[in-house]
Amino acid sequence: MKKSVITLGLILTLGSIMVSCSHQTTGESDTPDRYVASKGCPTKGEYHSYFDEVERCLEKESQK
Amino acid sequence: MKKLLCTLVLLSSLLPLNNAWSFDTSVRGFIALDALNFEKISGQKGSTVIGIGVLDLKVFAEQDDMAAAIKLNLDGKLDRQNTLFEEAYVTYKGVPDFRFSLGKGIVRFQNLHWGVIENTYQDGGTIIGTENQIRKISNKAFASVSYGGRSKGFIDQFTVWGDSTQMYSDEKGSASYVSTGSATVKTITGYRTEEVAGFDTAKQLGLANKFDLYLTDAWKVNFGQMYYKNRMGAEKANYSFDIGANYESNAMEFWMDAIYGFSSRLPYDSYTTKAKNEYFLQLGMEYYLNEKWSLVENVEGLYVKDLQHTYTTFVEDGVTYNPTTFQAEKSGATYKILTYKLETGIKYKITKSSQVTFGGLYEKKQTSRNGVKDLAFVRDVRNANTDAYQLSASISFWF
Repeated sequence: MKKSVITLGLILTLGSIMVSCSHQTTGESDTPDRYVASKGCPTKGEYHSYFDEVERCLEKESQK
Repeated sequence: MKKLLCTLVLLSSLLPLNNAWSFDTSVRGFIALDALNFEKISGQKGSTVIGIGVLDLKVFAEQDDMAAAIKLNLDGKLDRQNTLFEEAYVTYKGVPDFRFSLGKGIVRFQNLHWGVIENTYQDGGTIIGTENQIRKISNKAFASVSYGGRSKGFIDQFTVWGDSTQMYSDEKGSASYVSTGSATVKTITGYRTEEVAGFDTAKQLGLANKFDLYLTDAWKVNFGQMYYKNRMGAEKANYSFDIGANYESNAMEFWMDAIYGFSSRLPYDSYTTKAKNEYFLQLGMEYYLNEKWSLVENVEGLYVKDLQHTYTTFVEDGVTYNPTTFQAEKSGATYKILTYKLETGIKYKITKSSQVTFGGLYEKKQTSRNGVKDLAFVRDVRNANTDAYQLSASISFWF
């Protein structure tokens, strides 16, 4: 009985993950806006100011 | 194994089948790997270090006018509780040009800038050790308000902050000693402290302000001030002033930071001082040779004048407290410590967001105790009169 429950759980888990992954698309129309916004933000910077610049940029982009 | 499977079953029930990975967040990070790092301090054996130099990860989440950020300092000392989260705060930005933040994080007043192969003295970038009390203020509880933006030409950020470790007070409201010895004769080794989620302004208060002024597209200057008072019997408040400048163009980048600071701590605190005056100067530049290569130079100097507390035998509540041998040794002494470092290097850009840095560093410290120079050992001053060098090749990657 226990083995059956564990096996069933495992199948359900793997199934859910596969279905979730199969619903992902790379098309821009389905991509969330903020994800697109962060792409325009710095991808390099000085160690101490990098995260501050990214944070300001994310805020600015999200306000558009 | 069973627990793991049960967890997976539970997880599967929580996974929404559609948009399962559509988080409204952005994750950014920075990694610097020490591919090869050779350090040599005079009189000691040289050593090669290979590993992670810096590993920071920051998660940004936004919803309407609220934003949250969590920064993980993954290269920090993980054995210390709560140091993993260098920052964790929430920001409200519903009022135009204003930002209100609350949480734990970095208190800004300096113009911090990485050197060539090492961090600034303000953030622990040393081989032989420095004695500056004024450093990057991180892991603090804070509430801040900032006004302005790059489009306005300035940003001002004002912060009220406190330490996450607070002194424990007894029923009378006095500091409590950590001591050893018998019931009637003891020596004091420190104060009892407590970890707190939010600070008590009756025990401590910190204030800071940073004003960034964008003069042109290329030039930015900043003015910072910091104030901190431990109200549990500390004689004087700590304070500091900062002036910094940055210039950035397609041909080069230049940075400068100058700081004056005064600090005082209770006699039995860690890193104690009765009165410490310190002066710090950093100058650096990066010159872009072409799209791939650039030259980098950085110079930092730190002068510290440190007056130690006087330790004598005293009686309190029927208990006699004697100074320890170490306390008696440094009692009333004045230390003057000059530390400086020179860095040079060359950077090669691998991709848009990764680079390799090859460089060298020379560092020297000169200490005098009550006017006496060239002492081989000075109590509580690491590598008192010595020099050191470092050769490094590191890979940096932003994502």
